[in-house]
Amino acid sequence: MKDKWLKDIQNRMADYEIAEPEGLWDAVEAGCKGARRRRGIIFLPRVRRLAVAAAIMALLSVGALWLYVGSPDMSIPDATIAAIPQPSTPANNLQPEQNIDQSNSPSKTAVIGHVAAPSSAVPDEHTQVPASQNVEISETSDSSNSSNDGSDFPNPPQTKSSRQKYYDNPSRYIARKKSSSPLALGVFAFGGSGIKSGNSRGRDMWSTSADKFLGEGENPDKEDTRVSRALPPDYLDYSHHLPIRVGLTLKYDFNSRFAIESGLSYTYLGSDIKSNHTSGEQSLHYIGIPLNLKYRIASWRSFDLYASAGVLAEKCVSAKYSISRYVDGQIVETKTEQLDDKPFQFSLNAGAGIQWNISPAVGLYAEPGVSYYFDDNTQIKTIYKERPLEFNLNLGLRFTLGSKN
Amino acid sequence: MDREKELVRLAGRGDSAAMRKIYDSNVGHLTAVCSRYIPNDEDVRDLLQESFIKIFSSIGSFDYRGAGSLKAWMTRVVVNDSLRFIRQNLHVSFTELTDVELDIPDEEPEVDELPSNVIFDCIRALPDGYRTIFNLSVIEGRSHREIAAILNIKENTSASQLHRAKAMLAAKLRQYQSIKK
Repeated sequence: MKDKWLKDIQNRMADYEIAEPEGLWDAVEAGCKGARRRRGIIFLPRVRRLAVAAAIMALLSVGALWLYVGSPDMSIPDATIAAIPQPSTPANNLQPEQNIDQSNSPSKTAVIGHVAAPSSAVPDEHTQVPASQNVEISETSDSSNSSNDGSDFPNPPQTKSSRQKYYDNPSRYIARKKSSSPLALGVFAFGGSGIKSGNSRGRDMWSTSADKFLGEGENPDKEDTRVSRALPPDYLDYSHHLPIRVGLTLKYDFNSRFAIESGLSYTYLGSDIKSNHTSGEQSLHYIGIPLNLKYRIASWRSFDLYASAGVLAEKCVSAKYSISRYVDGQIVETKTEQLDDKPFQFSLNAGAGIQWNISPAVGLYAEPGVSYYFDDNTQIKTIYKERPLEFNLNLGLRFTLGSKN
Repeated sequence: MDREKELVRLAGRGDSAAMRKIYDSNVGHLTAVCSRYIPNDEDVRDLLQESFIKIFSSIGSFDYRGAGSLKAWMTRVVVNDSLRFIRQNLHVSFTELTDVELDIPDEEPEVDELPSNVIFDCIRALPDGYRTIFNLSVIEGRSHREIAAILNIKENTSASQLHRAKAMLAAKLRQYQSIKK
């Protein structure tokens, strides 16, 4: 027999379809769920996965606290963070950070709301991660020393601080003012000097500058005093806290590899100001727009490996400081000023990240990166002036919205 | 086929919707493949369930290599599972059937005019041994050496069984054609 008919049969049968057996999909689905349960961690049901994520974060924060306490020369002044029940007591965070959100579906992804990670003194329950919020903890290697003893020797290397983001948590300001201990949720060691800035000869300068201090508010028309009125006196020492940032981001996937992400961020930069008889605070508020390009390098099961690069453009929307002068322990006077200069702050960032997709909608990620903060060309003293280039590690959750097309 | 690749990736992460889409696109074909090997519909259903679960459990490590690669892989899984089932359950005897003298005509059947379901039904109606070897050789394209290894028979057994399978199928098809005329 020649074989043409067999070839024909082969071709016809290659695409031939018949009706599926009744109820097959239900049986398959049920069987898959059973197989997943048996398989273990990657296919945990939602609640347990979130619990695992929360447990990981708790472990990391405990580890960070251990690191922090273990490093010498760090004093923990106010442990009042512990008293704050909110789940976000980020003592200090810096760095505008892009909310890098990487979702692997070709849908829009939004990272909504950030619940700060637990601070060092906060016990485990604060690491609960509600399913509807994003948590981002990022650590920077900035050392923000909270010991304000006026000495100017550099702080010991590691202060890792974790960056936490709040969303809708008004009491975070209270928490932050009281807390001056940096968080040490860190996996990165960055040798660096302390972040104190300003003139360390505060003692001598105080008496000669007393008039300047007192008289600053009284010549509004004078050109030359305008500048000095706008900034805290030069001789004061600054102790910068790490930035706190909240934000909203939206990511659009071009294809299965590239995505672009933008959004809106709010950053709070706070600093303690101190001299011998003076103490106070400076607070700067920025609104920023991040823009990042994401490249998905590889995926394996529920893990994604990606790279990210981008910019963050921030505008200072509010800047003020408040300092009080003390005599014999009593406040003699207090000055509060709004700074006139509200600068732009630009920064570049790049990094890589790994995301564990614990469900199609929720992913847990770790993202080390580096950021560089450009000088904003003002006299305002910020942590970025002290340390424009920094390494940081971000941990957080990402949410995916939208349906797949 | 970027879209299919995306579905594969999502299914690997346990996305039900993606799995469903892959299932829907392929179930018709896979049911046909399985039914060609296994004559009983209940058995087909049970086997397909096992195969799909196996497929979705390991799709995370499936290396997508372009259009058709997914279908080919899934088909291979179903064929292998069907063969295992046949070996374990059907107790197929591949010994030569010498009692029947098959009338082997000169002409090939004209397949173009035949509807696919007729071809399918005729294949499915073949005796177990002939059917299995016919499927492996003609549809899957396996060599007699491979078939001999798969079914644990001798190569020439495979060849002669195939010869008889083809004759029987041709006869059935011709019978259908003559009824139709």
